[in-house]
Amino acid sequence: MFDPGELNFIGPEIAVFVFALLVLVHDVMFKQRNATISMGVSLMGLATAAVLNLLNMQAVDVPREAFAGAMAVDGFGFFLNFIVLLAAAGALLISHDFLRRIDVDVPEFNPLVLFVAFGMMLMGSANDLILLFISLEVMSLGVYVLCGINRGELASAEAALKYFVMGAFASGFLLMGIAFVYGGIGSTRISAVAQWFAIEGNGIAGNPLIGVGVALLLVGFGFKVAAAPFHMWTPDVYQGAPTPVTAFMATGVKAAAFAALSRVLLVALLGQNLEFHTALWLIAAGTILMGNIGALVQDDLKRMLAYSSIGHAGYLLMALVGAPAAGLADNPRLGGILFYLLAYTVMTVGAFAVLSFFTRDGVEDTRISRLGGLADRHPAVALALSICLLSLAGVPPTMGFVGKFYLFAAAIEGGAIGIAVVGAIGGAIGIYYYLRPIVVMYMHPEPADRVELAMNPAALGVLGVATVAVLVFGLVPGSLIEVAQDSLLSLAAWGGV
Amino acid sequence: MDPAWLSALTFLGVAFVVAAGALVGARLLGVKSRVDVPTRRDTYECGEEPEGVAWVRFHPRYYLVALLFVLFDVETVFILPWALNLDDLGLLALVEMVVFVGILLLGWAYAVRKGAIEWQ
Repeated sequence: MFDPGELNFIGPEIAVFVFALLVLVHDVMFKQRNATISMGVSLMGLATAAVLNLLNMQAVDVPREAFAGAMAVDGFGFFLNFIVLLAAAGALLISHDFLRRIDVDVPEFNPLVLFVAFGMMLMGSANDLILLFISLEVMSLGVYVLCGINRGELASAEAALKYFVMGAFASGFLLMGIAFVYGGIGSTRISAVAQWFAIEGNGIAGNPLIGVGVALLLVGFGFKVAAAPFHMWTPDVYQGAPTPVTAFMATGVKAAAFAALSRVLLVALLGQNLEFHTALWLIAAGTILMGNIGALVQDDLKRMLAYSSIGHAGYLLMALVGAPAAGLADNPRLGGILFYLLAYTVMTVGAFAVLSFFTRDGVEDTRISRLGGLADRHPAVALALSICLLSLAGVPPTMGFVGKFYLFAAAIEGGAIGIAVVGAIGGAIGIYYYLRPIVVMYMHPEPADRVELAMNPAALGVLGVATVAVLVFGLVPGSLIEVAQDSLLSLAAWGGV
Repeated sequence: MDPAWLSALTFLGVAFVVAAGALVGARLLGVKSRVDVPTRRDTYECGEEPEGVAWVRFHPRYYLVALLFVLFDVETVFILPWALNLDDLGLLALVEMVVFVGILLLGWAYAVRKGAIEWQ
């Protein structure tokens, strides 16, 4: 029977949802919309959710199920909620001035971001493949609209359509995969799947239904996290969508999709991962190489960051290749996945905050050459962007370095030396293209037709906080790493292994 | 063979037989007309006369109305089984339905304010 006390566990989700409704109602009920109030209420919703999430985190020591097992209440979900809330707050703050500049006055923007965050948070704690799918659709539908929010711009509409068509297709794969797994096992509960596999004699081998299901799941998730060879949509969509939306997609959507993938791989399929090891290996290697090599030749910073986000998905997959078949406790370094998702969110939001300054007459212009002379005009902004880019490249002493270190350690400890070598090659390529914008900022002259940067306090605040966080957690990552590892190990409570 | 596969195969076979049977049956039983009258090429052989082509652009307000329809459609789908079982479910179910209908009403109010049902 349903226990109303369980509503506490979705307190953060409820908070975000209710505040989204409030903003929506506010925006349509008053003739004169006040963008500042709308923004303030949205941020309050995110803050309320963060506080509730923190309270839950302290109250729940032992992972437990809620809502008849549809939801897993564990450290993994709590950690992801924080990442999502951070990404949403960053995107909202960047968007505040940006949307005004590109002349997009859509009152639904803030509520949509909140609804998407709501879906993402549910995704991280879904213990049932059906709940996982529904929350993924809640997230995706919102993001499709956000991509096309700048209706007058052809690129934005193209991004939305591309993402929608490809995304709907991928959702079909995912749903089909869920159906096959259900057909083979008789349950869509992730923990129940793990327990089924734990029974002697049960496995993917000899069960073609489940094998097909797992393959389809990998394809569906591969699309959502932009893994090769399902990554082709990423550059166009990331470039076409308005910058704050791209920031949200690169961080929040990626984190949520990765969390769901991790939960499926590390809970449901943990003992079985040798069965599809080669497939995962190839996907990871392809993603790392495609992302990093593609980023090499880009002249547009936004497009470059899109390719680099593919590369980063590759590093995360690399760690998943090193998942131990015997149980998560064998490889605590896997906690680096959560840490890296957080680090990637922080540094990417920082970089996109700077990108959002580059508009000319209401149109985005993010070519790398526009960065010329930035170090002379705005030394602080140039320095902050450099730090974020260096962190993305994985140069110490930044958060990106620590995260990447743990990802490599996880892969190597899991015996996946080969993929770690591929990762190292990708990282070396990465340093080259991340240095390029920095070289342009510090050594190239200003472009002749320069426009004044549209700096605004909200986005500058995001940039400042991100830069400081990247440095602080790069220098003293200890406690955060511990929290990330504990959060990931909380997944072990579900396993049948 | 695995019995699970056998049932799937049977299902496939039945589907094939039904589809093929309809085509073959129509060919065998159908009255063959040698005269090519224009009505034979019509969309419907009886009833309303089709006018123009089907490939015209529809105004998006049709979709808005359709979406509103879905809103209340889904509401009914959930309310019906809920109403039948309300006696067993108790107060909590009542509260849940109030919340659910409340959210839908909010969506409806939003759509009305946005002018979704104004038909200019």
